[in-house]
Amino acid sequence: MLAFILRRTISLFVVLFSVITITFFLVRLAPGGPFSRERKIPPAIEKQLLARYKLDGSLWQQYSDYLKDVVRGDLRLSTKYRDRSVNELLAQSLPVSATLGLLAFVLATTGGVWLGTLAAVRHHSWVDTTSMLAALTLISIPTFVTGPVLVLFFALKVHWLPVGGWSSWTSLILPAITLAGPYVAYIARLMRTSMLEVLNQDFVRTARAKGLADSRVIYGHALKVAVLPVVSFLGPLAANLLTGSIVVETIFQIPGAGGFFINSIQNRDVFLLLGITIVYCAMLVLLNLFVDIAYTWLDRRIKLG
Amino acid sequence: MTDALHAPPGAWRRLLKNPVAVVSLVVLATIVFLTLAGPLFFHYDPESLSKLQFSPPTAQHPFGTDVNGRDVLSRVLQGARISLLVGACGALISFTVGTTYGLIAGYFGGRVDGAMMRFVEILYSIPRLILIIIASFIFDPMLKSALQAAGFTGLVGYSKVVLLILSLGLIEWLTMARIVRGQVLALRNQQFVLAAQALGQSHFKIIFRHILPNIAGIVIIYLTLTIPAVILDESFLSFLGLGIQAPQASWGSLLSDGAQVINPVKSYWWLLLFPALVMSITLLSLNFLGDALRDALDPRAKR
Repeated sequence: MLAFILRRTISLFVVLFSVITITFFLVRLAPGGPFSRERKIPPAIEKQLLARYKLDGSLWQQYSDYLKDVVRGDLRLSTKYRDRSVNELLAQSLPVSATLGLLAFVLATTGGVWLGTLAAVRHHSWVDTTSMLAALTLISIPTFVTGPVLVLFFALKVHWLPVGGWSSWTSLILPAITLAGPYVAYIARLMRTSMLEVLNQDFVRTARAKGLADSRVIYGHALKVAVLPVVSFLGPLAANLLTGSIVVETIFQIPGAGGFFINSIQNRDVFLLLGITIVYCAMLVLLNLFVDIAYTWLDRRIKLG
Repeated sequence: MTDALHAPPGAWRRLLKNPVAVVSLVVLATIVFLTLAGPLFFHYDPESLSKLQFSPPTAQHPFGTDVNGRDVLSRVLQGARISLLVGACGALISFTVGTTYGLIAGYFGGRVDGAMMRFVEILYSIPRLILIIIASFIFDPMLKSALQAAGFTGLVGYSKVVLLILSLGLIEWLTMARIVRGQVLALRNQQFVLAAQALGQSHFKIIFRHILPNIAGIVIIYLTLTIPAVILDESFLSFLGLGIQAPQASWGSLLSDGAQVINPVKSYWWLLLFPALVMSITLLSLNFLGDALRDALDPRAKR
């Protein structure tokens, strides 16, 4: 177990290092720097600006300097939001995105597992057919359609919930549902297939033969095994929620990191772009590590039990 | 080789017996036909402006008109052309990369397999769409100036489409690689492979002539399921304003226009409803078809 965690931690750093390198050179080699959009500035001032943001010197020099700063935890200054550091901007926007992401994560997993189990247990009934039909429909509709439609109904027609923004907990509900929707559906399908397979296995029949109540058999025995494919989907789920939240934050005008990401690309805000990419990758790789640990832990318990 | 490419006996019949699959096939055929032949029936140029702003659906404009007085129906059909093109070509690229990768990893097994699958796992845990956004934003001006310099001025407008196809194709291959590899692992020790090896055939020939035809079924299923995934990715980028640019249209950019004019005072519902409807029906048909194909081709999944 310890060797496993150690190996994964090393690969975590390799991944982060590669992502930083690729993104840095992509952004720096692209035509047009962060200051070329504005009106012509005198060469002396441009030189000063480049020096202030440490964008002068050879590309290799810039890269190695940046790596050193990142290791020290300094993500440098934003070139668009003058005099504000990337650390500051992230500290202010990341908690917002994380809250939304976490809520959607919980919604997607619990909702999906529950719905999938229900469909499998009532196999071939109307519950099964309609919920799976609904799931496939939900997967096929992009979030930027469900989002505005939900707003149109719940916020503009019946005035139950706010249109967007980030004022109270009620403004969280619609974005979280929008973001989680397709993944509730995906996990429900995953869960149904695996539950159907598990319900046909010998240990379930044994449990039933011993006269255990149906709910004990399903929730006490079968669920533990059937949930494994869902656990291995949690890593990709986190990645999808992360990119998905960029769209949802745009729709609901939520002041999260996603909006900053889109802005930073359009403004060539080099260090903000790099900073967000690094933090996103680090979060994902860490999450994947946790998921893998959870998986081996669950798996072992199954082998023992 | 052609003999081996045959689907399991009765697969085609099983597929046609499934009403959902037949409906999906008909719907898809209709949409593709309208996309290609649409301009013959609807005489509006999707990019030409008119004074008729925000006209609700009428006999003349069945889907209404948008902020610039453009006919929404012809915009949706033009968008369909680009979205379907990106979806189909992107899925083909991902199919080529994913299948080849999975075949090699599964066939050679052992250390090669371990390293290759480790790489796939690492890619799974990277926010790939974020890197694609960065890359396509950065390579677009480069490709544009390269096309300009080479004299292909007519193609300059399509540089974004080409980039989208390439980049989306190159990120959506992971699941395909995993599935193919799993299948090949199960096949590589079977007797027909051993026989081919004993006869001294090259690895290349064994992989592509003997193993590939045997996994054709599952590959076709996932090819069908990759198309909607790529279409969704493309619409995601276009919605954020990072994909197809005006005056061109894709479903994503049309939906983005529609979502912007949603407000309580005056709702231009047709701008959102019709593109959303056409797109969702297409994706739904593709997903249903993929599911039906799985039932017809994969005997293990049959219940």
